[in-house]
Amino acid sequence: MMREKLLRLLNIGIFALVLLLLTSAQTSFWMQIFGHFPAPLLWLPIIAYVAINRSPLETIIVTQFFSLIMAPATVMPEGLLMICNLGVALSVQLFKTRIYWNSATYIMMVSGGSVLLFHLFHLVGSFLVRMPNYQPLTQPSVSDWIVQAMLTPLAAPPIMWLLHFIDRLTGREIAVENMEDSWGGTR
Amino acid sequence: MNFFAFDIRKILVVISVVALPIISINMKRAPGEAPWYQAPFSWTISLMQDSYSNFTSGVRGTTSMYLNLIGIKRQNQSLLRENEELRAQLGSIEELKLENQRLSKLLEFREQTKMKLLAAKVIARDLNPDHESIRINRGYREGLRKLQGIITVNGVVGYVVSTQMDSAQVILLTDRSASIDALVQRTRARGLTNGRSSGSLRLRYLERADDVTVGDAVVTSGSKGYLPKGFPIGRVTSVRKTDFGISQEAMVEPAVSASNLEEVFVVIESGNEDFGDRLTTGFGLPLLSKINSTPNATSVSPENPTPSPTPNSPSQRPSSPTQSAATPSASSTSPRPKPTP
Repeated sequence: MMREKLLRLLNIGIFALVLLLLTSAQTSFWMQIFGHFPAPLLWLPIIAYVAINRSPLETIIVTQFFSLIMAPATVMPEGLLMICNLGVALSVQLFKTRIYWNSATYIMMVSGGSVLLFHLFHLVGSFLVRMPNYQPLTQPSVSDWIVQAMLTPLAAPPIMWLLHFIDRLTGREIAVENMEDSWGGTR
Repeated sequence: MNFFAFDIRKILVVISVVALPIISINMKRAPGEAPWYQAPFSWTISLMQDSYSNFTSGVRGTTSMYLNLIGIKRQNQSLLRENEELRAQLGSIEELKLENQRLSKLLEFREQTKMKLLAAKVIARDLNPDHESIRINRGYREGLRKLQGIITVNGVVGYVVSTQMDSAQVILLTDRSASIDALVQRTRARGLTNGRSSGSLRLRYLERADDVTVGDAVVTSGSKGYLPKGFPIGRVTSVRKTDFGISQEAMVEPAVSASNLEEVFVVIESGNEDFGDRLTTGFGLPLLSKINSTPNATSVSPENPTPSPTPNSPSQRPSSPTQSAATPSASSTSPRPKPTP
Protein backbone atom coordinates (compact mmCIF):
# COMPACT_ATOMS: atom_id res chain seq x y z
CA MET A 1 0.00 0.00 0.00
CA MET A 2 2.79 2.33 1.02
CA ARG A 3 4.72 1.33 -2.05
CA GLU A 4 1.73 2.07 -4.23
CA LYS A 5 1.45 5.55 -2.79
CA LEU A 6 5.13 6.17 -3.29
CA LEU A 7 4.87 4.99 -6.87
CA ARG A 8 1.91 7.28 -7.44
CA LEU A 9 3.89 10.23 -6.05
CA LEU A 10 6.87 9.26 -8.16
CA ASN A 11 4.60 9.09 -11.19
CA ILE A 12 3.29 12.59 -10.55
CA GLY A 13 6.83 13.81 -9.91
CA ILE A 14 8.09 12.43 -13.22
CA PHE A 15 5.05 13.84 -15.02
CA ALA A 16 5.84 17.23 -13.47
CA LEU A 17 9.42 16.96 -14.67
CA VAL A 18 8.24 16.16 -18.19
CA LEU A 19 5.84 19.09 -17.98
CA LEU A 20 8.68 21.43 -17.03
CA LEU A 21 10.87 20.09 -19.82
CA LEU A 22 8.14 20.54 -22.40
CA THR A 23 7.17 23.96 -21.11
CA SER A 24 10.78 25.10 -21.30
CA ALA A 25 11.08 23.66 -24.78
CA GLN A 26 7.99 25.57 -25.84
CA THR A 27 8.99 28.90 -24.36
CA SER A 28 12.74 28.87 -24.92
CA PHE A 29 13.88 26.23 -27.39
CA TRP A 30 11.10 26.98 -29.87
CA MET A 31 11.85 30.70 -29.64
CA GLN A 32 15.52 30.15 -30.39
CA ILE A 33 14.70 28.17 -33.52
CA PHE A 34 11.42 29.50 -34.85
CA GLY A 35 11.38 32.98 -33.32
CA HIS A 36 7.92 34.28 -32.63
CA PHE A 37 6.10 31.75 -34.75
CA PRO A 38 3.33 30.31 -32.56
CA ALA A 39 4.59 27.34 -30.58
CA PRO A 40 2.50 24.24 -29.87
CA LEU A 41 1.10 24.21 -26.34
CA LEU A 42 3.13 21.22 -25.25
CA TRP A 43 1.74 21.01 -21.74
CA LEU A 44 -1.82 20.42 -22.93
CA PRO A 45 -1.26 16.83 -24.12
CA ILE A 46 -0.09 16.06 -20.56
CA ILE A 47 -3.23 17.58 -19.09
CA ALA A 48 -5.29 15.69 -21.65
CA TYR A 49 -3.48 12.43 -20.83
CA VAL A 50 -4.11 12.91 -17.13
CA ALA A 51 -7.77 13.69 -17.82
CA ILE A 52 -8.18 10.60 -19.96
CA ASN A 53 -6.33 8.19 -17.70
CA ARG A 54 -7.00 9.35 -14.16
CA SER A 55 -9.99 9.65 -11.87
CA PRO A 56 -11.69 13.08 -11.67
CA LEU A 57 -10.32 13.76 -8.21
CA GLU A 58 -6.78 12.90 -9.19
CA THR A 59 -7.19 14.89 -12.40
CA ILE A 60 -8.23 17.98 -10.45
CA ILE A 61 -5.37 17.69 -7.97
CA VAL A 62 -2.71 16.95 -10.58
CA THR A 63 -3.95 19.66 -12.94
CA GLN A 64 -3.88 22.29 -10.21
CA PHE A 65 -0.41 21.18 -9.21
CA PHE A 66 0.77 21.35 -12.80
CA SER A 67 -0.76 24.82 -13.21
CA LEU A 68 1.17 26.01 -10.19
CA ILE A 69 4.50 24.77 -11.47
CA MET A 70 3.83 26.23 -14.92
CA ALA A 71 2.78 29.64 -13.66
CA PRO A 72 6.28 31.19 -13.52
CA ALA A 73 6.52 30.78 -17.28
CA THR A 74 3.75 33.27 -17.95
CA VAL A 75 2.43 36.60 -16.75
CA MET A 76 -1.06 35.16 -16.84
CA PRO A 77 -2.46 35.15 -13.27
CA GLU A 78 -2.03 31.75 -11.59
CA GLY A 79 -5.70 31.62 -10.71
CA LEU A 80 -6.79 32.11 -14.27
CA LEU A 81 -4.25 29.57 -15.50
CA MET A 82 -5.60 27.05 -12.99
CA ILE A 83 -9.17 27.72 -14.06
CA CYS A 84 -8.31 27.32 -17.73
CA ASN A 85 -6.31 24.12 -17.25
CA LEU A 86 -8.96 22.66 -14.98
CA GLY A 87 -11.65 23.59 -17.47
CA VAL A 88 -9.72 21.82 -20.20
CA ALA A 89 -9.07 18.72 -18.07
CA LEU A 90 -12.67 18.33 -16.94
CA SER A 91 -13.99 18.97 -20.45
CA VAL A 92 -11.70 16.26 -21.83
CA GLN A 93 -12.82 13.88 -19.11
CA LEU A 94 -16.45 14.60 -19.83
CA PHE A 95 -15.84 14.17 -23.54
CA LYS A 96 -14.14 10.84 -22.89
CA THR A 97 -17.26 9.47 -21.20
CA ARG A 98 -19.25 10.18 -24.36
CA ILE A 99 -16.78 9.48 -27.12
CA TYR A 100 -13.68 7.37 -26.74
CA TRP A 101 -11.58 5.13 -28.92
CA ASN A 102 -8.11 3.94 -28.15
CA SER A 103 -5.90 5.29 -30.89
CA ALA A 104 -3.42 8.00 -31.72
CA THR A 105 -6.01 9.93 -33.72
CA TYR A 106 -8.13 10.28 -30.58
CA ILE A 107 -5.15 11.67 -28.69
CA MET A 108 -4.43 14.09 -31.51
CA MET A 109 -8.02 15.18 -31.73
CA VAL A 110 -8.28 15.74 -27.99
CA SER A 111 -4.99 17.69 -27.95
CA GLY A 112 -6.08 19.94 -30.77
CA GLY A 113 -9.43 20.51 -29.11
CA SER A 114 -7.70 21.22 -25.80
CA VAL A 115 -5.80 24.10 -27.37
CA LEU A 116 -8.98 25.77 -28.57
CA LEU A 117 -10.71 25.03 -25.28
CA PHE A 118 -7.85 26.53 -23.32
CA HIS A 119 -7.95 29.75 -25.32
CA LEU A 120 -11.73 29.86 -25.06
CA PHE A 121 -11.58 29.47 -21.28
CA HIS A 122 -8.88 32.13 -21.18
CA LEU A 123 -10.95 34.50 -23.28
CA VAL A 124 -14.04 34.10 -21.11
CA GLY A 125 -12.03 33.96 -17.90
CA SER A 126 -10.19 37.19 -18.65
CA PHE A 127 -13.53 39.02 -18.63
CA LEU A 128 -14.66 37.38 -15.42
CA VAL A 129 -11.46 37.73 -13.41
CA ARG A 130 -11.00 41.05 -11.71
CA MET A 131 -7.46 41.77 -10.62
CA PRO A 132 -5.49 44.97 -10.20
CA ASN A 133 -4.30 46.14 -13.60
CA TYR A 134 -5.46 42.96 -15.30
CA GLN A 135 -7.18 43.71 -18.58
CA PRO A 136 -9.61 41.39 -20.39
CA LEU A 137 -8.57 39.80 -23.65
CA THR A 138 -10.25 42.08 -26.14
CA GLN A 139 -8.05 41.29 -29.11
CA PRO A 140 -7.42 37.55 -29.20
CA SER A 141 -4.83 36.34 -31.67
CA VAL A 142 -7.12 33.82 -33.34
CA SER A 143 -4.65 33.01 -36.10
CA ASP A 144 -2.12 31.94 -33.45
CA TRP A 145 -4.78 29.76 -31.83
CA ILE A 146 -5.46 28.00 -35.09
CA VAL A 147 -1.77 27.42 -35.82
CA GLN A 148 -1.31 26.06 -32.30
CA ALA A 149 -4.37 23.85 -32.61
CA MET A 150 -2.78 22.34 -35.70
CA LEU A 151 0.75 22.01 -34.30
CA THR A 152 -0.09 20.61 -30.87
CA PRO A 153 -1.72 17.39 -32.18
CA LEU A 154 1.46 16.68 -34.12
CA ALA A 155 3.47 16.73 -30.91
CA ALA A 156 0.85 14.81 -28.92
CA PRO A 157 1.52 11.15 -29.93
CA PRO A 158 5.19 11.06 -28.82
CA ILE A 159 4.29 12.86 -25.60
CA MET A 160 1.50 10.37 -24.96
CA TRP A 161 3.84 7.51 -25.69
CA LEU A 162 6.35 8.92 -23.20
CA LEU A 163 3.67 9.35 -20.52
CA HIS A 164 2.40 5.85 -21.14
CA PHE A 165 5.95 4.58 -20.77
CA ILE A 166 6.27 6.41 -17.44
CA ASP A 167 2.98 4.90 -16.34
CA ARG A 168 4.26 1.44 -17.15
CA LEU A 169 7.52 2.19 -15.37
CA THR A 170 5.78 3.29 -12.19
CA GLY A 171 3.15 0.59 -12.25
CA ARG A 172 0.30 2.93 -13.00
CA GLU A 173 -0.78 1.19 -16.15
CA ILE A 174 -2.73 -1.51 -14.32
CA ALA A 175 -4.45 1.08 -12.21
CA VAL A 176 -5.35 2.99 -15.35
CA GLU A 177 -6.76 -0.05 -17.08
CA ASN A 178 -8.87 -1.05 -14.06
CA MET A 179 -9.95 2.46 -13.30
CA GLU A 180 -13.63 2.88 -12.75
CA ASP A 181 -14.87 6.10 -14.17
CA SER A 182 -16.75 8.12 -11.65
CA TRP A 183 -18.48 10.02 -14.48
CA GLY A 184 -20.57 6.88 -14.97
CA GLY A 185 -18.66 4.57 -17.30
CA THR A 186 -15.94 1.99 -17.04
CA ARG A 187 -12.94 1.97 -19.31
CA MET B 1 99.15 -22.76 -102.80
CA ASN B 2 98.99 -19.86 -105.15
CA PHE B 3 99.36 -16.75 -103.05
CA PHE B 4 98.22 -14.43 -105.79
CA ALA B 5 95.17 -16.32 -106.72
CA PHE B 6 92.62 -13.66 -105.56
CA ASP B 7 88.96 -14.15 -105.23
CA ILE B 8 87.68 -10.78 -106.21
CA ARG B 9 84.25 -11.30 -104.62
CA LYS B 10 85.77 -12.04 -101.21
CA ILE B 11 87.86 -8.94 -101.42
CA LEU B 12 84.82 -6.80 -102.22
CA VAL B 13 82.91 -8.23 -99.27
CA VAL B 14 85.80 -7.60 -96.87
CA ILE B 15 86.24 -4.05 -98.16
CA SER B 16 82.59 -3.23 -97.89
CA VAL B 17 82.33 -4.65 -94.34
CA VAL B 18 85.37 -2.67 -93.18
CA ALA B 19 84.56 0.44 -95.18
CA LEU B 20 80.86 0.87 -94.32
CA PRO B 21 81.35 1.66 -90.63
CA ILE B 22 84.19 3.97 -91.52
CA ILE B 23 82.03 5.72 -94.05
CA SER B 24 79.15 5.86 -91.59
CA ILE B 25 81.32 7.24 -88.78
CA ASN B 26 82.75 9.70 -91.18
CA MET B 27 79.27 10.85 -92.23
CA LYS B 28 78.16 11.22 -88.61
CA ARG B 29 80.95 13.61 -88.01
CA ALA B 30 79.39 16.00 -90.43
CA PRO B 31 76.81 18.17 -88.75
CA GLY B 32 73.44 18.61 -90.31
CA GLU B 33 70.39 16.59 -91.06
CA ALA B 34 70.09 12.86 -90.88
CA PRO B 35 71.39 11.12 -93.90
CA TRP B 36 68.96 10.76 -96.71
CA TYR B 37 68.84 7.02 -96.48
CA GLN B 38 67.67 7.11 -92.88
CA ALA B 39 64.73 9.34 -93.59
CA PRO B 40 62.15 6.72 -94.57
CA PHE B 41 63.09 4.52 -91.62
CA SER B 42 63.04 7.27 -89.12
CA TRP B 43 59.65 8.46 -90.42
CA THR B 44 58.24 4.93 -90.14
CA ILE B 45 59.69 4.42 -86.71
CA SER B 46 58.52 7.73 -85.44
CA LEU B 47 55.03 7.02 -86.77
CA MET B 48 54.91 3.68 -85.03
CA GLN B 49 56.39 5.06 -81.86
CA ASP B 50 53.90 7.86 -81.90
CA SER B 51 51.03 5.41 -82.36
CA TYR B 52 52.28 3.24 -79.56
CA SER B 53 52.83 6.19 -77.39
CA ASN B 54 49.33 7.49 -78.03
CA PHE B 55 47.83 4.10 -77.46
CA THR B 56 49.69 3.40 -74.25
CA SER B 57 49.09 6.84 -72.86
CA GLY B 58 45.40 6.49 -73.72
CA VAL B 59 45.20 3.14 -72.01
CA ARG B 60 47.18 4.36 -69.04
CA GLY B 61 45.02 7.49 -68.77
CA THR B 62 41.78 5.52 -68.95
CA THR B 63 43.04 2.91 -66.53
CA SER B 64 44.31 5.47 -64.09
CA MET B 65 41.05 7.42 -64.40
CA TYR B 66 39.08 4.34 -63.48
CA LEU B 67 41.54 3.44 -60.81
CA ASN B 68 41.38 6.96 -59.35
CA LEU B 69 37.62 7.24 -59.59
CA ILE B 70 37.12 6.05 -56.06
CA GLY B 71 39.80 8.41 -54.87
CA ILE B 72 38.25 11.28 -56.79
CA LYS B 73 34.84 10.52 -55.36
CA ARG B 74 36.27 10.45 -51.88
CA GLN B 75 38.13 13.66 -52.53
CA ASN B 76 34.97 15.22 -53.89
CA GLN B 77 33.06 14.24 -50.78
CA SER B 78 35.81 15.61 -48.60
CA LEU B 79 35.83 18.88 -50.54
CA LEU B 80 32.07 19.14 -50.34
CA ARG B 81 32.22 18.58 -46.61
CA GLU B 82 34.97 21.12 -46.29
CA ASN B 83 32.90 23.53 -48.34
CA GLU B 84 29.91 23.02 -46.07
CA GLU B 85 32.06 23.51 -43.00
CA LEU B 86 33.48 26.69 -44.45
CA ARG B 87 30.00 27.92 -45.30
CA ALA B 88 28.85 27.16 -41.76
CA GLN B 89 31.88 28.95 -40.39
CA LEU B 90 31.14 31.87 -42.64
CA GLY B 91 27.56 31.94 -41.37
CA SER B 92 28.68 31.86 -37.75
CA ILE B 93 31.24 34.55 -38.43
CA GLU B 94 28.50 36.67 -39.96
CA GLU B 95 26.33 35.97 -36.92
CA LEU B 96 29.22 36.89 -34.62
CA LYS B 97 29.80 40.05 -36.60
CA LEU B 98 26.18 41.08 -36.21
CA GLU B 99 26.23 40.19 -32.53
CA ASN B 100 29.39 42.19 -32.13
CA GLN B 101 27.78 45.19 -33.80
CA ARG B 102 24.72 44.83 -31.58
CA LEU B 103 26.75 44.47 -28.40
CA SER B 104 29.03 47.35 -29.38
CA LYS B 105 25.96 49.53 -29.75
CA LEU B 106 24.71 48.41 -26.34
CA LEU B 107 28.11 49.03 -24.78
CA GLU B 108 28.34 52.44 -26.36
CA PHE B 109 24.90 53.25 -25.02
CA ARG B 110 25.77 52.06 -21.53
CA GLU B 111 28.94 54.10 -21.46
CA GLN B 112 27.19 57.25 -22.56
CA THR B 113 24.44 57.29 -19.99
CA LYS B 114 24.23 58.15 -16.34
CA MET B 115 21.91 55.25 -15.69
CA LYS B 116 23.11 52.16 -13.93
CA LEU B 117 22.27 49.46 -16.41
CA LEU B 118 22.59 45.71 -16.38
CA ALA B 119 22.71 43.84 -19.65
CA ALA B 120 20.51 40.77 -19.88
CA LYS B 121 19.71 38.16 -22.45
CA VAL B 122 16.21 37.12 -23.44
CA ILE B 123 15.91 33.41 -22.71
CA ALA B 124 12.24 32.64 -23.14
CA ARG B 125 8.87 34.07 -23.95
CA ASP B 126 5.43 33.67 -22.50
CA LEU B 127 3.70 30.31 -22.34
CA ASN B 128 0.45 31.82 -23.50
CA PRO B 129 0.50 33.63 -26.84
CA ASP B 130 -2.23 35.99 -25.63
CA HIS B 131 0.20 37.43 -23.13
CA GLU B 132 3.34 39.29 -24.06
CA SER B 133 6.16 38.66 -21.67
CA ILE B 134 9.74 37.50 -21.80
CA ARG B 135 12.14 35.94 -19.35
CA ILE B 136 15.64 37.36 -18.94
CA ASN B 137 18.72 35.68 -17.51
CA ARG B 138 19.14 38.07 -14.56
CA GLY B 139 17.50 37.70 -11.18
CA TYR B 140 17.46 39.18 -7.71
CA ARG B 141 21.00 37.94 -7.16
CA GLU B 142 22.12 40.64 -9.62
CA GLY B 143 19.97 43.25 -7.93
CA LEU B 144 16.80 43.03 -9.98
CA ARG B 145 13.62 44.15 -8.32
CA LYS B 146 10.00 44.28 -9.31
CA LEU B 147 9.00 47.20 -11.58
CA GLN B 148 12.49 47.99 -12.76
CA GLY B 149 12.38 49.19 -16.33
CA ILE B 150 13.68 47.16 -19.25
CA ILE B 151 15.03 49.07 -22.23
CA THR B 152 17.06 48.69 -25.37
CA VAL B 153 18.95 51.36 -27.25
CA ASN B 154 15.82 51.95 -29.31
CA GLY B 155 13.32 52.44 -26.53
CA VAL B 156 11.39 50.98 -23.63
CA VAL B 157 10.67 47.26 -23.71
CA GLY B 158 8.70 46.72 -20.50
CA TYR B 159 9.26 46.20 -16.82
CA VAL B 160 10.02 43.43 -14.36
CA VAL B 161 7.00 41.75 -12.80
CA SER B 162 8.64 38.95 -10.88
CA THR B 163 12.16 37.94 -10.03
CA GLN B 164 13.78 34.63 -9.28
CA MET B 165 17.35 34.02 -8.23
CA ASP B 166 18.82 33.99 -11.72
CA SER B 167 15.96 35.07 -13.94
CA ALA B 168 13.14 37.53 -14.10
CA GLN B 169 9.80 37.76 -15.85
CA VAL B 170 9.38 40.93 -17.85
CA ILE B 171 6.01 42.13 -19.04
CA LEU B 172 6.25 43.87 -22.40
CA LEU B 173 4.59 47.21 -22.97
CA THR B 174 2.43 45.59 -25.61
CA ASP B 175 0.83 43.22 -23.11
CA ARG B 176 -2.71 44.23 -22.31
CA SER B 177 -1.97 44.27 -18.58
CA ALA B 178 1.09 46.51 -18.90
CA SER B 179 0.73 50.22 -18.36
CA ILE B 180 3.27 52.97 -18.13
CA ASP B 181 3.17 56.70 -17.48
CA ALA B 182 3.96 58.55 -20.71
CA LEU B 183 4.31 61.97 -22.30
CA VAL B 184 3.77 63.20 -25.81
CA GLN B 185 7.21 64.62 -26.41
CA ARG B 186 6.22 67.65 -28.47
CA THR B 187 3.42 69.00 -26.27
CA ARG B 188 4.21 67.26 -22.97
CA ALA B 189 0.65 65.92 -22.87
CA ARG B 190 0.48 63.24 -20.25
CA GLY B 191 -1.23 59.88 -20.50
CA LEU B 192 -0.98 56.21 -19.72
CA THR B 193 0.03 53.59 -22.24
CA ASN B 194 -1.73 50.26 -22.31
CA GLY B 195 -0.74 47.28 -24.39
CA ARG B 196 -3.17 45.83 -26.87
CA SER B 197 -1.62 42.35 -27.25
CA SER B 198 -1.44 42.96 -30.97
CA GLY B 199 1.96 44.58 -31.04
CA SER B 200 0.61 48.08 -30.53
CA LEU B 201 -0.10 50.42 -27.64
CA ARG B 202 -2.89 52.74 -26.62
CA LEU B 203 -2.14 56.09 -24.99
CA ARG B 204 -5.11 56.71 -22.74
CA TYR B 205 -6.35 59.42 -20.40
CA LEU B 206 -5.00 62.25 -22.48
CA GLU B 207 -6.83 65.45 -21.70
CA ARG B 208 -9.32 66.35 -24.36
CA ALA B 209 -7.65 69.69 -25.00
CA ASP B 210 -4.19 68.18 -25.37
CA ASP B 211 -2.53 68.66 -28.72
CA VAL B 212 -1.66 65.21 -30.07
CA THR B 213 -1.12 64.48 -33.74
CA VAL B 214 -0.09 61.51 -35.81
CA GLY B 215 3.67 61.11 -35.83
CA ASP B 216 4.24 62.56 -32.35
CA ALA B 217 6.86 60.74 -30.34
CA VAL B 218 5.68 59.28 -27.03
CA VAL B 219 8.29 59.14 -24.27
CA THR B 220 8.53 58.07 -20.67
CA SER B 221 7.65 60.53 -17.94
CA GLY B 222 10.19 59.06 -15.57
CA SER B 223 7.85 59.98 -12.74
CA LYS B 224 8.68 57.07 -10.45
CA GLY B 225 12.32 56.70 -11.26
CA TYR B 226 12.09 53.19 -12.64
CA LEU B 227 12.72 54.47 -16.14
CA PRO B 228 14.69 57.44 -17.43
CA LYS B 229 12.73 60.52 -18.37
CA GLY B 230 12.10 61.25 -22.03
CA PHE B 231 13.03 57.78 -23.24
CA PRO B 232 11.19 56.64 -26.39
CA ILE B 233 8.09 54.48 -26.05
CA GLY B 234 6.67 54.80 -29.52
CA ARG B 235 5.10 57.00 -32.11
CA VAL B 236 1.46 58.06 -32.48
CA THR B 237 -0.23 56.38 -35.42
CA SER B 238 -3.79 57.63 -34.90
CA VAL B 239 -5.77 59.80 -32.51
CA ARG B 240 -9.30 58.99 -31.40
CA LYS B 241 -11.51 61.65 -29.90
CA THR B 242 -15.14 60.80 -29.21
CA ASP B 243 -17.95 63.33 -29.35
CA PHE B 244 -18.27 63.31 -25.58
CA GLY B 245 -16.05 62.57 -22.61
CA ILE B 246 -13.19 64.37 -20.96
CA SER B 247 -10.31 62.49 -22.51
CA GLN B 248 -8.97 61.29 -25.81
CA GLU B 249 -6.72 58.42 -26.71
CA ALA B 250 -4.07 57.71 -29.30
CA MET B 251 -2.77 54.53 -30.89
CA VAL B 252 0.98 54.19 -30.56
CA GLU B 253 3.40 52.06 -32.52
CA PRO B 254 6.05 50.85 -30.07
CA ALA B 255 9.66 51.85 -30.63
CA VAL B 256 10.85 48.33 -29.87
CA SER B 257 9.52 45.26 -31.58
CA ALA B 258 9.30 42.25 -29.31
CA SER B 259 9.86 39.85 -32.16
CA ASN B 260 13.57 40.56 -32.51
CA LEU B 261 14.58 41.11 -28.91
CA GLU B 262 17.78 39.34 -27.94
CA GLU B 263 19.60 41.56 -25.49
CA VAL B 264 18.07 44.14 -23.19
CA PHE B 265 19.11 46.46 -20.38
CA VAL B 266 17.65 46.43 -16.92
CA VAL B 267 17.52 49.92 -15.44
CA ILE B 268 18.95 49.27 -12.01
CA GLU B 269 19.05 53.00 -11.28
CA SER B 270 17.76 55.62 -13.63
CA GLY B 271 20.13 58.19 -12.05
CA ASN B 272 17.63 60.97 -12.88
CA GLU B 273 18.68 60.58 -16.47
CA ASP B 274 16.65 62.89 -18.66
CA PHE B 275 16.74 62.38 -22.38
CA GLY B 276 14.51 65.43 -22.64
CA ASP B 277 14.69 67.12 -25.99
CA ARG B 278 17.72 65.19 -27.15
CA LEU B 279 15.58 62.91 -29.21
CA THR B 280 13.66 65.55 -31.14
CA THR B 281 15.82 65.12 -34.20
CA GLY B 282 15.14 61.44 -34.56
CA PHE B 283 13.29 58.57 -33.09
CA GLY B 284 14.98 55.98 -30.94
CA LEU B 285 18.55 56.08 -29.85
CA PRO B 286 20.63 55.08 -32.84
CA LEU B 287 21.30 58.79 -33.03
CA LEU B 288 22.68 58.85 -29.53
CA SER B 289 26.21 59.72 -30.47
CA LYS B 290 24.97 62.51 -32.69
CA ILE B 291 22.65 63.74 -29.99
CA ASN B 292 25.35 63.68 -27.35
CA SER B 293 27.51 65.91 -29.46
CA THR B 294 24.69 68.46 -29.76
CA PRO B 295 25.35 71.55 -27.59
CA ASN B 296 21.65 71.76 -26.68
CA ALA B 297 21.89 68.53 -24.74
CA THR B 298 22.36 70.48 -21.53
CA SER B 299 20.75 68.01 -19.21
CA VAL B 300 23.64 65.57 -19.44
CA SER B 301 26.49 67.79 -20.44
CA PRO B 302 29.52 67.64 -18.17
CA GLU B 303 29.10 71.35 -17.34
CA ASN B 304 25.58 70.80 -16.09
CA PRO B 305 25.33 67.37 -14.59
CA THR B 306 22.10 68.13 -12.75
CA PRO B 307 19.21 67.82 -15.14
CA SER B 308 17.06 70.90 -15.23
CA PRO B 309 13.38 70.55 -16.02
CA THR B 310 12.24 71.85 -19.35
CA PRO B 311 9.79 74.76 -19.38
CA ASN B 312 6.88 72.47 -20.05
CA SER B 313 8.17 69.78 -17.78
CA PRO B 314 5.53 67.35 -16.62
CA SER B 315 6.72 67.96 -13.11
CA GLN B 316 5.15 71.40 -13.45
CA ARG B 317 1.96 69.97 -14.79
CA PRO B 318 -0.65 68.39 -12.59
CA SER B 319 -0.73 64.63 -12.81
CA SER B 320 -3.52 63.05 -14.74
CA PRO B 321 -6.48 62.53 -12.41
CA THR B 322 -6.85 59.02 -13.68
CA GLN B 323 -3.27 58.09 -13.02
CA SER B 324 -3.60 57.38 -9.34
CA ALA B 325 -6.65 55.26 -9.92
CA ALA B 326 -5.23 53.33 -12.81
CA THR B 327 -1.77 52.76 -11.48
CA PRO B 328 -1.29 51.26 -8.08
CA SER B 329 1.79 52.21 -6.17
CA ALA B 330 4.98 50.27 -6.51
CA SER B 331 4.50 48.83 -3.05
CA SER B 332 1.30 47.10 -4.04
CA THR B 333 1.07 43.69 -2.43
CA SER B 334 -1.35 42.03 -4.83
CA PRO B 335 -0.22 38.54 -5.85
CA ARG B 336 0.60 39.31 -9.47
CA PRO B 337 0.04 42.99 -10.10
CA LYS B 338 1.31 44.80 -13.15
CA PRO B 339 1.63 48.30 -11.74
CA THR B 340 3.06 51.18 -13.62
CA PRO B 341 6.76 51.84 -13.17
